[in-house]
Amino acid sequence: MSATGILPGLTRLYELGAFTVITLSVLVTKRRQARRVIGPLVTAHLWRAGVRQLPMTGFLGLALGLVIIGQTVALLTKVGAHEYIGTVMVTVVVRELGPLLTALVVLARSGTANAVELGTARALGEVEALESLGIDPVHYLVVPRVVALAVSVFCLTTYLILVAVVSGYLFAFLQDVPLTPAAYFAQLNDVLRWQDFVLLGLKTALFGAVIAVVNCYHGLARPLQIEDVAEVTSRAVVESIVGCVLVDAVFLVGYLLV
Amino acid sequence: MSGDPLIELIDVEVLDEATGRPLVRGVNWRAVRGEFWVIGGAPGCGKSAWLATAAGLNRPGRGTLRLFGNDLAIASERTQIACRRRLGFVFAHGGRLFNQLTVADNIALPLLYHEDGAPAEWPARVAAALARAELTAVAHLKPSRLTARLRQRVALMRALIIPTEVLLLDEPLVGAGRHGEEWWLDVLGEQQQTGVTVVVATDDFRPWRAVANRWAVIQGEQLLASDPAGVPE
Repeated sequence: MSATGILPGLTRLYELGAFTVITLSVLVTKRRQARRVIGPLVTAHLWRAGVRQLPMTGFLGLALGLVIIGQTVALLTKVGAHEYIGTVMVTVVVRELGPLLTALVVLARSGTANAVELGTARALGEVEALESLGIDPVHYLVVPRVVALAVSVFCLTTYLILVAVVSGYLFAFLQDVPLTPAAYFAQLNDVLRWQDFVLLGLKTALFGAVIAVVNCYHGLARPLQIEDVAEVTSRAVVESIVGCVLVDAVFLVGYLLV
Repeated sequence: MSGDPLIELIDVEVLDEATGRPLVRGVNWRAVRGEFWVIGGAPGCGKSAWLATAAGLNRPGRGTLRLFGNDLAIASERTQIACRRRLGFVFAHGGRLFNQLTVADNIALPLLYHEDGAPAEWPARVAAALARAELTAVAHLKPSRLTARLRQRVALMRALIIPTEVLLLDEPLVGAGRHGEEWWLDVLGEQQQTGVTVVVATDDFRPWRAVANRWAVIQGEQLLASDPAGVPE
């Protein structure tokens, strides 16, 4: 990468970091302020980013169960290694694919909508209108989205993993794999550690927060014209994916250490 | 009219927000309680930018802006928000309403956010504002369903739902029609009689002659005191 490409990248990273710090500061300092406004906004975003994504997440859980677990179980059984089914399941679905796939669903369905909404609000001058009313735009527009997306990605990931685990066993059962449900769940129980639950919670909440912050940053950070909204949305999608992968890489190190 | 200035601009340079180019230079202006200012000028001369700067929404290129005696450049966030709550602003061209909210919710938003007064009174205050703006029948609609003329009224009611001391309006009469002009002049006259300072940016002085008492015009990058015909003194 040339120097001319590195400098804007570093500047963007710095601005994104500053935006994240401002968001966290507002989240903490104004947590008790304007609850009658912020509370319903969090609920609305939870509905959009969480509840309304249940069918799509369930469908992906089924697909994951079929593709990963069904196939892997059948393959491991053929080579007489079906005692590793639990290990594969936890490593692939619980630690990696489940959170990442859920984050992509939330990004596609809700993160992009946030970037479009906020970019349009910025272009139409609604942010200045909020300021004129003494309303902090970060508190009103960003904080509810960050909270809702963090909670949504965590809950949806848990749901996706449960669907994948059950459907995976069903597919294995249909392939006549000699594995009882008790043996299957006992393997999972043996492999899962308490650290998996803690890291899963932290990772998924961070995925949601990264998606929300990156999309809100691109929608709000600088003056926009209405024709710029499409471009900033596509940039926000790319940077959200990069952000989630970077968070995932940090947690990978965490998994290796614990 | 006398007393401490509510808004004071000292040697202020007004910038174009998009380009950073100076539009009005060396502005020395103050507004005190009960004044009704009309600021005129040709389209594109910087009236809107001047108004936004006077309201503390745009940062001046240079000079000092004081709102209610507070220098905004060094004021804490708490002070800035307290100043904004004492000041209402109505944007031009439809008032920049929040398109995700209904008309009633747009008006109620400042009330709910700042928790102004007793919660039990809020529905009645919103209903009274809707009735005053003749908007009760459209209270449940989103702003995109209204004409620009009605959106501007919603914006005024949103600015007035919390009692203000200064009301700044950017081109409020554009597209208002004869009945609309009378309505606006009535409402703003009422505000002035209760001691609110009104500042209007416009390119047509004529409708305001019956209610305004202070006049200025932006000409050649300068803010100049003028007569009611818009001729600089």
